[in-house]
Amino acid sequence: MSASTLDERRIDRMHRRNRARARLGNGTVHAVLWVYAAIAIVPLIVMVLNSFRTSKDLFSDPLGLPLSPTVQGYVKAWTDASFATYFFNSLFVTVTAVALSTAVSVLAAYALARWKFRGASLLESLFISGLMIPIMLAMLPMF
Amino acid sequence: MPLGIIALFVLPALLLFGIFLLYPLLAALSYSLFEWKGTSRGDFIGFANFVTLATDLPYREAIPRAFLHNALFFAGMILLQNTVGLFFAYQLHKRPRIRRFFQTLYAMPYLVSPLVIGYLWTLLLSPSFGPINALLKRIGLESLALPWLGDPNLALGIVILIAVWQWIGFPVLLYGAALGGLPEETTQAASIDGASNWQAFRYVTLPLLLPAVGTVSVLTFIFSMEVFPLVYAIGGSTGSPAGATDVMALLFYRVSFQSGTPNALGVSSAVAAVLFLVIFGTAMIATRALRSAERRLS
Repeated sequence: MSASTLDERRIDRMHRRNRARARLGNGTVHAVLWVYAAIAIVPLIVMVLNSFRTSKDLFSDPLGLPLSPTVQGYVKAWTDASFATYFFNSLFVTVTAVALSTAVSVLAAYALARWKFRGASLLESLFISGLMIPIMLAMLPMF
Repeated sequence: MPLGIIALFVLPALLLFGIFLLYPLLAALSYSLFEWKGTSRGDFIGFANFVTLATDLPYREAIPRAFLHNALFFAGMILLQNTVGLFFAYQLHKRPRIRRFFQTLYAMPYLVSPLVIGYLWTLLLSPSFGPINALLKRIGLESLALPWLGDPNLALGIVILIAVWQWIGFPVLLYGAALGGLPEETTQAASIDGASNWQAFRYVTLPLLLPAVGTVSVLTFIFSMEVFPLVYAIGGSTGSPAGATDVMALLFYRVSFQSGTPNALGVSSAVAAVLFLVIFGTAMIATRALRSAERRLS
């Protein structure tokens, strides 16, 4: 009696074929991952590089690199466009909102997750349905 | 656990939720039932504002068209963002060493405000000084250097692609977390039984991922119905190339702030109410259908 039966040899061949196929697919997938990483990051890099060029420079040569970098754009944004005000406003709103919502949500989530009480599932679906409300509906009455 | 302690924990969230979400929602829904003169409330007119939406001219055509654009947006997001995101999440799941690096890169556009992203892409795609058309001309594909955002037929598709580009991080991270929670024994058993990678994915991993797929789909639906800053940055408040990128949120913004009619508040509340009902109704139905499908599969 031979040690490996017909079935074992067939399964072994299938394993080897699957592994070869997997290795070919692996290389392609790696390439795709890198290509998309480039697609994801290049526009942002272009934006940062272009911020160091003047408008005239951008009009004349869209694809160029900032060979003579200038911070003119940043200076104008800070002074003429009152970027400082916007920036600090955004910072304030973000910090406050994150702090407040985290504090409040952690308390409520702990209660909902760890303790069983009567209105628990109702409260949970109430909070989750808040996600479905379009922001615009909530802002209208403030005007 | 005594009721007082539970109330103490839940009350702050409930208060904020009630004041800033529930009350404005109910107030706005009630506004749609009145006639407005500027900002002072007029008489109760019942559903007349909704009737206006269905019969009067700019709204009668603009609303179905905007809904259509929202639906196309949702279809595009589901077909591209979900599938490609799942693909990336699965491939990264199998390569734990480089996973963090790629996840970070893919999620980078997610960190930038959609308004900024929209504006950035209008600059990049500009036919006169944008790098993309310049690159296409440089490598000789001049026939492909179309006015991407100026052609009404292309504009919505481009907006969808930009949205997918920005938000692909969301399904990648979510599916990555879901894949991390799956037991490894089932996939190992499948490969021992001779399943190829694709077969293992399709018959073992995918059914186990169905709850995550459902959640992502519902959230994508809600998001697609409410999308505003990206489209506003690209197309302006009228859906620039002849209304080709007009979505419900833009319509709402136009009606409430730029229409100039005295009853603006009433009609825009009606628009918002219709939008809310569509979102809420569909999300409820979808969640229920998904729950029963999950129960059937498990």
